[in-house]
Amino acid sequence: MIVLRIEGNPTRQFYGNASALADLEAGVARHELLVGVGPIHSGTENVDNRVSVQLRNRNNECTKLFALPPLGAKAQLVENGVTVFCGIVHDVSLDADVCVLNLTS
Amino acid sequence: MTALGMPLPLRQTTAWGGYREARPIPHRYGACSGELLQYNDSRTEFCWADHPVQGIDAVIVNGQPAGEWERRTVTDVTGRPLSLVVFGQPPDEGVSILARGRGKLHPVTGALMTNPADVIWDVLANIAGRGTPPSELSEFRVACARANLEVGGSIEVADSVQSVVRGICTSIGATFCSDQEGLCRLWPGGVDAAPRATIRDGTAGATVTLDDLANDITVQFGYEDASPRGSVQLEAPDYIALHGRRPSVVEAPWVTSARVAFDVGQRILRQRARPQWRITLQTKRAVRVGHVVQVDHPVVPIVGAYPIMSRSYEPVTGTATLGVTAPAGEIPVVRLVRQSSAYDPLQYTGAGVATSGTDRVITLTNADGTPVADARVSVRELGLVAQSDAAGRVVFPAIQMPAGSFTLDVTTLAGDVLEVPILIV
Repeated sequence: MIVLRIEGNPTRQFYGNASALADLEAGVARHELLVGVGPIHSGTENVDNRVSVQLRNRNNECTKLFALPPLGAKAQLVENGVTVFCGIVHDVSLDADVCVLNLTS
Repeated sequence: MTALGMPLPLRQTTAWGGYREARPIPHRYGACSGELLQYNDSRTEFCWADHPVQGIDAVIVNGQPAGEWERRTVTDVTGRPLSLVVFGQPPDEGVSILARGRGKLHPVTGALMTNPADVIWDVLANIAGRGTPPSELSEFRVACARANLEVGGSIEVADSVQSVVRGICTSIGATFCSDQEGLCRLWPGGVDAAPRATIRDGTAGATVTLDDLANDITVQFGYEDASPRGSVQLEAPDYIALHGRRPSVVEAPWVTSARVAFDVGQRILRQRARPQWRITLQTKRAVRVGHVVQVDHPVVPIVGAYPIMSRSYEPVTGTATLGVTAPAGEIPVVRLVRQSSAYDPLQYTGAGVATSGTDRVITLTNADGTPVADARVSVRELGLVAQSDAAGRVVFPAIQMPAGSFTLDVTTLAGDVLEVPILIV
């Protein structure tokens, strides 16, 4: 199970389904909106490692959550308790179906 | 008529017999400076502008004020009036020669053209021959006058018409679009009209990126010989705390004073310090670039009235895709961090400002660098008055002169009255 955690006020955790609940930190906002995580790009010639994360926005959930977008906020992808990516939020895109966050290290 | 994407049809020095090399002949506006171009074979006559000018105040040869010269307005072999500098003796070969002065006069009012709308009108109507009436820019003229925005600069390279006009606009925080009513508008920070339409539905999207953020802005101005001679740095501390420091440099070659640079920097920072949602919306409403639309769409995280920055119209479906930029969050508090300490080179009188202990020390200089001695100096906003000493210095207690933007009214021994803007950090 993979979880996206974005630090801030408040800190938020995004997960895909109920099986991830055990991996979530108690007392931190949680949202069952995670749809997918793209490949984690890294390499010696890349300036930044990066990854794209898709969240559900069919009912404009992310539109409401990101009215003040968390640009530059620390963001982590945690898989089964192991951090697989740690960076910041570089950009946010919204449409009627999905919200795409691009994270960069 | 020259198309917007075509080079501005500047005349070339090849129009004269004694030209040295083929170069565009410059047009100059407001207080500005620029290289002199050889006009005759004996190298005693040099051209400053392809039109009459209000005045030439200093000639600089290899960085030093030149002694014997005079300004003349002559008619060249094609019958066109030029502004020349005529030397008693030809300057040495290979030296750099530039002049500082005041540029083109308005063909109707005869006043020095410093309002950005007048300069842009002259470029479009008189140089590019596009038949733009002055009235088309009247709203922009009023907005610039209200904001006390003045420009000065030169057109020395035959860039495209669009590029020249956008360069002037970018310098002062404005936009240009041939599809826009009134052609130009101040942005960010202009006064917005009432919304033409409200957009609540249809396909929409919104994107925001860290790359657009700038919460620490340095505006470079007072360009001479392609280099800035002054700068002001401003920051938005609250947004630096929120997103980290995001520095950016704004090149403003058409800005000649710290006061205008501060105004431009402040307007840009109030917009760019905040995350900027770039919103796309589809509509069948008849709206154009520059029109204001009320955005209240469920997909878009911001509700409010914003000007249309771009429009793509599909005639078959009658649908337009609009681009709108909307900042998120409160308008930031802007703090002046630093101002270049050098005197403003393009003012006829410049002021260097320093804080020494509990005093503000202001040094007044003429365009040639000599001190403005024994002048009566009053700070308009504060009612403070002092006399400058032999070195052109006046001193005011810092406790009576806090940080901010002020105007000095200077009366010289000769009775000249000068207005000098200063910023106190």
